[in-house]
Amino acid sequence: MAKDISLKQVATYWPLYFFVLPSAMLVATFSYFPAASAIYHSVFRWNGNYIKIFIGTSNFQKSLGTPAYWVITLLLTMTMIYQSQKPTLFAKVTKWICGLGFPLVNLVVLSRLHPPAGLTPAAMLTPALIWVGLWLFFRWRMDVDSEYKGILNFVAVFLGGASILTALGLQEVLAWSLSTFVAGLGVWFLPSRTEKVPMLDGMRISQALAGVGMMVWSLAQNAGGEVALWSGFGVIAALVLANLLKMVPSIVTAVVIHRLKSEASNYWYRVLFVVPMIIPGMVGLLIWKFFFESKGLFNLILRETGIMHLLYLFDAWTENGVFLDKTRAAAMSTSEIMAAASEAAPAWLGNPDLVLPAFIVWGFPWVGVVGVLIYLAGLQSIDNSVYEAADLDGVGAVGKFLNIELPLILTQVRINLVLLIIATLQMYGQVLILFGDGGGPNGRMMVPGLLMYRSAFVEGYAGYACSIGLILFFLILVLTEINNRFVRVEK
Amino acid sequence: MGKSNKDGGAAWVNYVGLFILLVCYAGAFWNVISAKRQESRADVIRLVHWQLELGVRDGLESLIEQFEAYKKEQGQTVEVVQIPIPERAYNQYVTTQLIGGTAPDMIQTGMFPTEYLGRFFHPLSVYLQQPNPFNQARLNELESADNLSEDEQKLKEALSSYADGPWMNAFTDGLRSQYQETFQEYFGVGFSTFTVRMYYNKNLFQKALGHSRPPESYAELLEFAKGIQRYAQESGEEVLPIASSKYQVNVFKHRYMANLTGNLARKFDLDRSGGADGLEKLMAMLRGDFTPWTPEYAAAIDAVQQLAIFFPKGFMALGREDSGFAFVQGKAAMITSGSWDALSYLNNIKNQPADKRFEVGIFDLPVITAEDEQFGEYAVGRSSEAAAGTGFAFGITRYTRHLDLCVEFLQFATTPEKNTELNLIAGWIPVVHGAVPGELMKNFEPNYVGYFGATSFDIMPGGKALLLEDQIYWPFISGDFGYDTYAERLWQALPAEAATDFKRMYESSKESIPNRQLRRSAFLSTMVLGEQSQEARITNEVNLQRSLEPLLKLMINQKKIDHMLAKTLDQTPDDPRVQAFNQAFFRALDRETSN
Repeated sequence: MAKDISLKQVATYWPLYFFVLPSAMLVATFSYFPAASAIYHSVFRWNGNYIKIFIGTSNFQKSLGTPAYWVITLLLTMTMIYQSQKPTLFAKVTKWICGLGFPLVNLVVLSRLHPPAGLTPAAMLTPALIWVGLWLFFRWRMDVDSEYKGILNFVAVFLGGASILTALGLQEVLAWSLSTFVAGLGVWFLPSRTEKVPMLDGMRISQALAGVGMMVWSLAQNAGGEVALWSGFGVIAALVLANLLKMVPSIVTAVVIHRLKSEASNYWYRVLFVVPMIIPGMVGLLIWKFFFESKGLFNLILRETGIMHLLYLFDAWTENGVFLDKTRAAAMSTSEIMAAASEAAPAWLGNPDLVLPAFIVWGFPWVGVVGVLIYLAGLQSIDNSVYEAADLDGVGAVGKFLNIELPLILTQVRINLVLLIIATLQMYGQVLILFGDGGGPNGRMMVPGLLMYRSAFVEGYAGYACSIGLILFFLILVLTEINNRFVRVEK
Repeated sequence: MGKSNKDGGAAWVNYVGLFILLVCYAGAFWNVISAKRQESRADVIRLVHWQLELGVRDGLESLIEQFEAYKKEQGQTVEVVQIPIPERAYNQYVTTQLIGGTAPDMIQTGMFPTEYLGRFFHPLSVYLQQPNPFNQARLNELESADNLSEDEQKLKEALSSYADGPWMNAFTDGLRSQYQETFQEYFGVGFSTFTVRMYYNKNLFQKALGHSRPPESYAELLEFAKGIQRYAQESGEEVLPIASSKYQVNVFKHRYMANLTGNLARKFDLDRSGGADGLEKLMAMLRGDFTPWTPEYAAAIDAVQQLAIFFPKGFMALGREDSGFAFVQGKAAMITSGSWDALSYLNNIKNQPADKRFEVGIFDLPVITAEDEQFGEYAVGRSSEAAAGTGFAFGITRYTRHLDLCVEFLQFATTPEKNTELNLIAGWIPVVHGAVPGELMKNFEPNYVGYFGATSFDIMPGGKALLLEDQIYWPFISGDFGYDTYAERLWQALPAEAATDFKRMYESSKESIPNRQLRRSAFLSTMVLGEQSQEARITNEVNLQRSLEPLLKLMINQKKIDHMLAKTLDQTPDDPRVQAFNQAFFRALDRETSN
């Protein structure tokens, strides 16, 4: 444990600081100096070399859009968060005025800029599925004997309202913000006697995060910034969510290895997981590229397992037109659709609608070598006496995982989560190698990192690239802070 | 683990890490020492390029060895080191090296912004306007010899036409393609030239079509492709009519764009520069003369799309290497690529198992002629390959400490004999008069007769409009949606991207003026106030004269933009789609300029 030392002690131990100096200088030169340079150059129109003209916040305005819209939305949100901490009547009134102001601002902007979304099965299905999933989650986590279990249905009704509003023709972003607002009214305005409801805090936090998410979505849609940047953040959001799920196999694998009774097997499994680390990433990338080719293994597996048939049926039903032409699909019988699926060979990396799902499937079964080793290190620090106590209490295998192992490796989960979010937000090398700097089919994979690279090295707008880098930096900072606050380790 | 075991084991295990550290330090130390020693015992020049094709590095290595031997004879120890960098990382590598001030002596030009040339490279016209001493010496040698062979006689004739004149006259295009109009200067010396052709599998043609002759027209190309597709279906053999990837699609697209939209380019060319630049194309869009529904453009896109049905599924996600492999493995009947791939393809085919080897034929991409039933009415004629010029060109960076040596190396490499040898090993086309192309390269000899110029929606190189067109073209050519959707999507999204490009072009043009005025003032003040040698005075005078023209051009360009905009805005387009485009463009431009 590090201890503070007095100035007097510094006089004695100062030569020790020289040992830190090389590392400190390296970090300062290769990390802090470029970062400071990026902050400085983000307010210039800079070509990376000799053209350098001060342009104030123009780079940020180009990427983020209308400043007024940002300022109003951020003020409303900040006031809402600030006032939510206070019990006074004024604070309550202000909070709800601000809360209502957010959907109202959206309504004004959206009605001016965007036509209504219109009723489509996909538009109805997507929010409904997400909200119902959330409801099921709460239902699973809440004690079924609780006298307040009726609150679960209340969550489903309000949150599911988004799908109905969308179906009625309201813009998705507005429907969701209205629904979030109403859900917020419900969750935060519950009578005081319901304070005992289990998971109420969790629900409030989820609602608050959903509100912030709505704000970002709304800003991206309406503020008029760089379209490619915001669609890139959409791609990143999808990849982060997918990567969260992709953490599960690594945790499960680590637990399974940890529980192996034989020391030798445990050792060899660890070695087996380390060996793939020596294979260059490029090899893995090329293997997966071949895997996803039209005549590749992935399509073969999907056809043989019947998953392709399900995908085709779903596509025809939702009229998405991903696998089958919409007009053709409407006239096809089920057997014709099944026959088409039997011969299907979609190009996953060449189709704008399939490239993102392909990136999500990428790396299946998603057992990350580094992740497994980090979790294993955490698991090995659990004392045997804890397991013995659990055995005496008759706790089963799943119980041990949920009540002992998972809570005790939450530190490692949190580290991995932060690293994963940072890596996903910064990701662009894979896209660049696969598709070049154009972002792939229809530019669908133009992630913010790639846009930054392209702006600097292809278009020669390094100042603008710096501003994108700074936006990425702040986003990572916010997400890391949220992660540190809410993924708590209580041992 | 017992204590004794721990103590005994730790004794040496603890030193393993230290040992590895020391080995690494020793390795790094040795690297630095050997580099220093290399530099102390010889003049080292480094040249970087992105040509990883078979034979090129060998060709360069042979040239380097000969140059080093020649210098040794002269009493100077020289080492030339070639650094090949993959194409995809080249721009990034060169940019960081140039800006960081650590660039090698010579860099293959291209793949990076042309503005770097003026900033980081030595101007070469001073040398190019002087005779190449190697050519003069060789000519003298030939003139003094009695019994010349037929080849030597030809070489003597070629050399006598330019050896005593400027070095640039030795090149087949007079080095015109290396001339940078913006800087009024030459920054590169080319070693080779390139053309694009189609390769075909003669054995497969024979099996599938009953003959092995190449198609002579676009219609016949489609017909042959259809025949091969039919053969594959009937025989069950897994062969494709045309191996393709995003790379090859662009080759077809450029060729048929030139073939069918050349007239449009000339129509939009307001300043009579010989082609439509980005600004002229933008004006044409605002006037409504150029939209995705313009028949010539639609025809060119359609011509490629009709070929695309013979490409493998998901071809846009494939790489150039993937399509090349498919062809050399006999899985495709045809492929289009440049002369740069010829040697690699032939060598790979030779390395196939005996039953998979096949004979390769090479033909030029069939031109769409006036007789073509579908697109004949838009056909301009065959496109010229004069613009191919001289490629594989090297420029000398300002960071070099061996300028004279670099110039000497370039002069050595561009003598007819060395140029022949380099290109024979590389399997490329030589660019010096008197150099003889290899047998294989005779199929690729450039065709200088024909039209040139094409029109598409790109406004500036590497710009947003170009990116947009490229992005929307991907799903369209893959068959995800039809032409109407392609045109609608392009036209709807284009105004914002065009506005960004336009603003950038305008800014860049405007900001160049003060810089150039400053440069010109420096030349003027040196001339008036400076005390100079006669030689430096002449160079300064030349610089002064040269600096005027681009400055005038830039100033005129500002007027041109204003004039063209005013002229364009005077006309109110009737087409509601064009009106919508105009509104969206100026709204986006307002937002761009208010930022």
